[in-house]
Amino acid sequence: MIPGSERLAAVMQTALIAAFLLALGGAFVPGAIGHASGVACVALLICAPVARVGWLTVEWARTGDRRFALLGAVLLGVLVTSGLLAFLR
Amino acid sequence: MNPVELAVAALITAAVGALGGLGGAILLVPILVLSGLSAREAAPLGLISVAAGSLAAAPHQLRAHMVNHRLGVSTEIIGSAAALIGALASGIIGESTLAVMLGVVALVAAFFGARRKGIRNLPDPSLTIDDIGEHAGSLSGVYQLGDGEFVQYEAARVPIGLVGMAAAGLIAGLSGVSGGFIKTPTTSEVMHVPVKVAAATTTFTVGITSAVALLVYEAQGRIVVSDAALVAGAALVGGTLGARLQAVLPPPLVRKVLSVVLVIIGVLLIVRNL
Repeated sequence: MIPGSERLAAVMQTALIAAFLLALGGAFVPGAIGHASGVACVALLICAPVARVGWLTVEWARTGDRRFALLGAVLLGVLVTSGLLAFLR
Repeated sequence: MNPVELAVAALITAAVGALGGLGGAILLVPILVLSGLSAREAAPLGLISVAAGSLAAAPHQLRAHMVNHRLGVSTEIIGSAAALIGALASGIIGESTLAVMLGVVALVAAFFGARRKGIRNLPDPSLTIDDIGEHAGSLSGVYQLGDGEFVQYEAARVPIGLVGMAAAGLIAGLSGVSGGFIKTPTTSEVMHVPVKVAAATTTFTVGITSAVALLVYEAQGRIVVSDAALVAGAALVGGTLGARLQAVLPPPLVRKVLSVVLVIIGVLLIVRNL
């Protein structure tokens, strides 16, 4: 069992509602505000799973599950490297 | 395809994909390509649908302790790295090659979807509701099968499973479909993790894979924000609806119907682009 998973579920629920509202804005609001809303929606969809991995890594480190905390950190490293590679090319 | 048709397609494919456990993008991307969008434009929209479906399922799956996060994180390291390579390579592969590859992927997904098995691990009467969840320090856990039935499991043959995850990541990056149709059977059939846990863990990991590939697509300027927002909104609703409908319709039946649709789509894509 992951300690505090109820809290993570609540955070994901909030992210889900926020993503939906931002998606509506991006799809139906014209002009710069609509565009910004759509960009924020896409950013949220990208950031949510990364934040979830970050949260898990911290929880595992905090509870002494060092092997999986290390694996979580490696995965975060892969994700950050991917982002850097994508935008530096 | 006009915005209304795009939204309807994203909503229905997300709902049906969540219902069948294959993910909506495996239907959405080929449909978009058949409707006239290029494979290069369809891929980011497919991954937006995957990311939205993953987020839509997260709150319920976390509360049900259905996801094995340790297994997901362990296997996703290679999956994400492969997705990065696939997404970078997709920018240099020809349009018709991508479409034919998508057709082959649809046929493979149809095969896996139709042959997926039911329950492998049997309930252990000594387990209680307090045992539910993943175990610290290992790739094992307990999940609830039915009322008062609890099943213990432990991932086996992890190195072979990692090969499947790499293939799934590569396909996701190249084509924009989630790769879940490879990940779930690999986790279930190769690594002997129960189907429900395998499907939930896959839903978690495809969100990460899609994040990596979306970053690359964004850097390549391939994401049309208004279309992406439309697909995201529709897929969030469709994914939530599909997860609820799972209680009413049997997923094996849905997967078989989906497989027939995928065979038709796959053959059409291959024939049109060869």
